[in-house]
Amino acid sequence: MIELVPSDAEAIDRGEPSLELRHLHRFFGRLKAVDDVSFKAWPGQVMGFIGPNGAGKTTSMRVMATLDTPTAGDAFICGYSVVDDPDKVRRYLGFMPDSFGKYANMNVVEYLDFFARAYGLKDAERRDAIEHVLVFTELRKLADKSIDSLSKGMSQRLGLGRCLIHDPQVMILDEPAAGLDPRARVELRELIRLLATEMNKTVLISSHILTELGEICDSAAIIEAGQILAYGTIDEIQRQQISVDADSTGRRALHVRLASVDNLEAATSSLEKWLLEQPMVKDVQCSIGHAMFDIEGDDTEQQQLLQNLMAVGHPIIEFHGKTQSLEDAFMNITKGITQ
Amino acid sequence: MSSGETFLHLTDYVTDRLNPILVKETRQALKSRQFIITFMLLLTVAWLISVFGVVLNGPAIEFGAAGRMFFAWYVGVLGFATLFVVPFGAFRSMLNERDYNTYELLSISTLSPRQIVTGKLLSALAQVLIYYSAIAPFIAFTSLLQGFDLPLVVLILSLGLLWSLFVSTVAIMLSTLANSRQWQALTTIGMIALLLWQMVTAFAFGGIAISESIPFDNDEFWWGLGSMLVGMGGYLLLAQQIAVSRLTFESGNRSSGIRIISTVQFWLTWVGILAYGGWYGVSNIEGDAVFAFAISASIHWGIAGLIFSTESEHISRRVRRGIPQSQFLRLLYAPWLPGGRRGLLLLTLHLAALIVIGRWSSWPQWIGNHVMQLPVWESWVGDATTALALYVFIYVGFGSAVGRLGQAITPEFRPAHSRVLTILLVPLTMVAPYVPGMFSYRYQVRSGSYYWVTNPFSTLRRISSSNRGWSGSSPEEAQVYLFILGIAAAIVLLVNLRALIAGVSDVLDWPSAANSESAASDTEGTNAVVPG
Repeated sequence: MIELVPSDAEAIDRGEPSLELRHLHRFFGRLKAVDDVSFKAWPGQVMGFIGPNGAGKTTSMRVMATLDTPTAGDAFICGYSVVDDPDKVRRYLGFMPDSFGKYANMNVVEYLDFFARAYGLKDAERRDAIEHVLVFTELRKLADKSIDSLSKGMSQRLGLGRCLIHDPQVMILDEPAAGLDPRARVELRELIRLLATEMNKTVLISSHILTELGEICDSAAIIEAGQILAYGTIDEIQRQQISVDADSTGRRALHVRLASVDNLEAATSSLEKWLLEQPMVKDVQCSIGHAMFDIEGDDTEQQQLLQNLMAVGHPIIEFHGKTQSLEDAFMNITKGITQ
Repeated sequence: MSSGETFLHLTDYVTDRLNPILVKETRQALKSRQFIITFMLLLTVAWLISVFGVVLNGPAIEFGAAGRMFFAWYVGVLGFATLFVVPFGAFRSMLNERDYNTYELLSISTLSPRQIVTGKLLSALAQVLIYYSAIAPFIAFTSLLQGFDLPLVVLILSLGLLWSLFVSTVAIMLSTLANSRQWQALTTIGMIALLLWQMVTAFAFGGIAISESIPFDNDEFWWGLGSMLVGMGGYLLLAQQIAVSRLTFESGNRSSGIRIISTVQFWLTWVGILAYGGWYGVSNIEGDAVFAFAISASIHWGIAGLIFSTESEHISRRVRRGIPQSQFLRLLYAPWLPGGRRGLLLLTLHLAALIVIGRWSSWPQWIGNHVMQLPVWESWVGDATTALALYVFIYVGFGSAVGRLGQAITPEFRPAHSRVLTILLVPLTMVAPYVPGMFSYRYQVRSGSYYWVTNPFSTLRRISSSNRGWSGSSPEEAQVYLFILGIAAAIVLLVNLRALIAGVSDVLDWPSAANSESAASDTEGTNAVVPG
């Protein structure tokens, strides 16, 4: 198992986490749907929960949402245990399942009104909450429309609005973008971003669309076969994955960019020649203004190489390790195990 | 503020204080096709009855007792809506919550399971009242006719309302029992059959009540009516509690409420019998009445006891937090706390009470006729009640022991398995005496043989006959049957004794709520929550 220990996420003092899983287990007979899962999330954080189908994402989310009980371990929402205090947890939690729960013969306002009442909101507080949600989700114009006739995108907005009606601190969204067209997806993404940035909510979101998660999440947990394979900020996961690759091959890929000097072609050629002379440098590939190569060694060798490059006088303006997308990291970390 | 706005604010204020499910379901129902069709049908049919009734009766309507006839027809129309459509709607309403994925949204809201069930029930009641208000003008019309009997009308309509509420509660309870699609389909078919059967039965009773004159001045009538209402109320509460328990979160207490209601029902019935005896003088309690109580109590505790005694033994921290601090109170409360061992203890205590009641009822002949006269002087009641209680204990005790053994062998062994095994054991033991005769006539177990002891019906018949000297049986025969059953019950008790003691000592040994909290935080992350 690849163990990525987050640094930024836990090192920075953010106070108490609003969402925490401690050694969560959920077994169905012999099937270990969730096997010793632990992570934390803080207010204002959008955390991606990533994994292939059957990895244990929805099971974990159902436990966090007090729809299921763990076989062992616990989950805490704003400090309350989902096992011991599910009724308190529910006050601080908004859960959007992967399917939109529809009621027949009901319009948008009545739907929100019912859930506002179900969360104990009364009088002006209830009316204000409904109005706020209608404005936030931009459903004001559709307030009197039957929920049966809403498009998928509008239904997802209404689902999000339902989650928000009691102003929870933590929101758990299970595949909210599934089945949405590109415009609806972008709009939903913006709404989710606002939840964290403007409303300081903790958002845990699962999705298969990793490029999107990469754009809205500041941290992620990658789960497969019920176990967390990687957990940390998106940058950490991407960078550390490269480090892991380097550790396993003994090489690390680097990229160098040259400044736009007068004779860039000559400068590139000079750089290529110099690199080929270095014993720890392998597989040099150059294009005008760029050079990509592998270096054998650790941080010390990398630092030494950079110093030498500068000392020789190459007009370098960028020197960094090869970046990879969240999708690349996911593909590298997961093994395609199904259970 | 205009009067319209004032009205809206007032409506808002009132509905804010109502059950949210009631508000939602009433809104939905008023827009639903099913409600509109039923409502219009009810009005149309009632109107047709009025028109055709008047036309067909002709001038006879002036002097004949047409009031009752018209009332019977209106009640019939009303009955279809309130005894079939409304309960079935309540049943479907709960199932729809699962089918349309809204149940999860409800359960993660701050609504309690009791609020959900009560809301469903109240919305059924609201619909019933709307149907009542629709039929009211037609019933008012019958008051203009000869034969109109106001007490009868009030009684029938009140009983109809209560019965509809009872059936709706049972429907909601049944809808919470079926989780899988297959079970839901099966339960729906069963529900339709049950609703049709109860509706036809209610119509039959209603028809008799309307056609005959009701003896309002007879005490027996009121005793009968009161008993029926108390019984119905008890089972309504039980059905509601079962539904609530089914919806309660897994780490919550799903059992104590049902246990308490079952206990109250048992003692309330016995107190009712004693009160009846007290009203008429104790000698008026007949042996049959006590034995009828024993049979109903045995069935009641047989079913409830089997469920309680095969429950998972795991008690969550959440439940533990709610137990009393004092050791004495814990000891008293232990049989009503969740867990199979404590369930068996509760059953054992009540079966022991049932035996005492049966014995006490037949006291004079049990120890001699010189003893003061007590309610019942038919000794067979004591013997038969004892036998019934012992049978229930043997069967359920077996199920409980099998459940614990199965759990010890594999965690895959679920409470449902031991329940099914116990239920299968009953017919197996009943047919056991027939088995040798299936191989050869020579091995046939003869009537009167003690081998028949495995068949409860045969035993009860023999005990009843032997005490009364029927069928050539002797009084000693009953004692032999009781002896055999006593030995079997003692073995079952011995097998379960450690579990019974552990059930109580567990409760006494639990740390207090404060300690439990700290213990929980000390061992955080390692708490095992084993779903039942």
